[in-house]
Amino acid sequence: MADLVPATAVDAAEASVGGESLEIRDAAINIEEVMTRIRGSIEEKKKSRAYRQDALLAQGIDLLQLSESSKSIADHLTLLKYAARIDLEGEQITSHRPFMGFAIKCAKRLTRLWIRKYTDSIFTKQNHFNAEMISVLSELNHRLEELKAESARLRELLETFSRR
Amino acid sequence: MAVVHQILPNLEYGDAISNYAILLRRVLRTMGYGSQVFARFVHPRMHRYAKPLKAIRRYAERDDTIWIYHYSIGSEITRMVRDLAGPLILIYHNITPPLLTVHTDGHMASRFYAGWEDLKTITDLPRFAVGSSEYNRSQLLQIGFRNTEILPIILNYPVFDRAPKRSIVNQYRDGMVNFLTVSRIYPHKKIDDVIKVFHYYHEYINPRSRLFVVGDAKGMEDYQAQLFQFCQNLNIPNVYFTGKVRFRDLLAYYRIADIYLCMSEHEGFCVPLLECMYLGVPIITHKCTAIGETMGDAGILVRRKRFDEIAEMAHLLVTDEDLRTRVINKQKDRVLVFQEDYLVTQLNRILVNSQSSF
Repeated sequence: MADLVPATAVDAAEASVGGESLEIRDAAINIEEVMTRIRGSIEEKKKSRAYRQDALLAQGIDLLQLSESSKSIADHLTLLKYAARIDLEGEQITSHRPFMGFAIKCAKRLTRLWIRKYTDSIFTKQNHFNAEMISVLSELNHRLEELKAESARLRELLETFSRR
Repeated sequence: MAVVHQILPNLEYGDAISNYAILLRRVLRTMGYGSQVFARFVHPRMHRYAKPLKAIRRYAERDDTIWIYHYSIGSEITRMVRDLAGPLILIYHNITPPLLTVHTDGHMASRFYAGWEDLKTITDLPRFAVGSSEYNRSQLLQIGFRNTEILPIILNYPVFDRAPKRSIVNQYRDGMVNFLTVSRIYPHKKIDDVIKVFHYYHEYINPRSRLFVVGDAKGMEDYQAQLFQFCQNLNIPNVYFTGKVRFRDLLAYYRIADIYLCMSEHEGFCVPLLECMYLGVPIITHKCTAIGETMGDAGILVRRKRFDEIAEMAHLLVTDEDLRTRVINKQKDRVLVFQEDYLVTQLNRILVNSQSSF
């Protein structure tokens, strides 16, 4: 089963979705028959020498670690770190116009340079505040994790005593 | 007769939301409404379809104007939309959950995040909040919008009957099996999973095969570089990244495709599936978010990504003529749901109700 996907990933997926990995809603197509043909073909290939387990295991690599994305506080904090950083340079200055584009971009750059004289100090303060806030939240999350671990340990101890 | 104008941040070339706005403009005019599209940035090839946003003042004076705002990502034009007189209809095209991109592109994740936060602040603004699928509509309800509806996405089908670029068809219709995926190169589109399926197919089933990844990688060059490296590590030779292509080229890639693969983790509708259904390309797609709804009872849905089984399924679709015909016919039946009549009926109901007070 776990030829292509790491066992843990397969187990997690199996738990959430029972039955076949493929779904055909057209009642005229017999999904069981199709899956039997597919699995038969895979088994045949496994018997062949050309079937390289190591190469297939590479397919189990989660290139982008999407499966690690979850709604944990730590993930939200990572997201907040990006959202909290205000880029003083702002959005990239572009123009679609083929000929006037260069002049428009220059004008926009000059305007931004002028405005930044007044906005940079405000944004820097905000950046500083955001960074401090993220640090505090991260620290609180860290403490929370420690308390959770301690609480679990105490509960375990309590259960051990109550069993006696 | 009232006028119905549309607003969107950017009118891009080859972009699903932009094409939809242009199609809606034509439909609204056919229904007898005056209609314009306003965008902050208009691609040079799209100038004839839209007016710049700054021209909106001239059109905003009429009392009977209904405004349609296409919302897909946070944009500063939301502030301007707030000040418009007249009923507002918000068409929500879905925002990718920021957590799906935070590990690979923090900047994009923060834009998605800002889009979510922005959307929450305008729940009281539109008379109707409209989703292109039930999945999108349910998100609108969760956010707090009260009057919600579904307005289906349809395609401008006649343009898909145009001649494809002959040179591409001639070059690649050569007996090799062609896999296709059409998508912007975003991490959550999971192009790496498409490559994994193709890797199995190419290595163990048919080496005379290719994979075309058609879509823009602008801003996602790091991810694309990772994909190149991934192909190199797996030693797969026939993966072609075409970048953004012209419409005639896109038609050609559909014409030469034997199988369409979609392994995306998040889709608010997924327009390329509709294009495949219309053009007769059998689809194997990951069943997530709105995809199951778009597919209906057509195509092959992937509930769990077993790359070997998906590749073997693709092989069956290529070699078993009966199965292939059955799947293609079912897809063609499905696309009949997404026709202009249905869109007009829904749109008319929304427009009439939005003019009456609640």
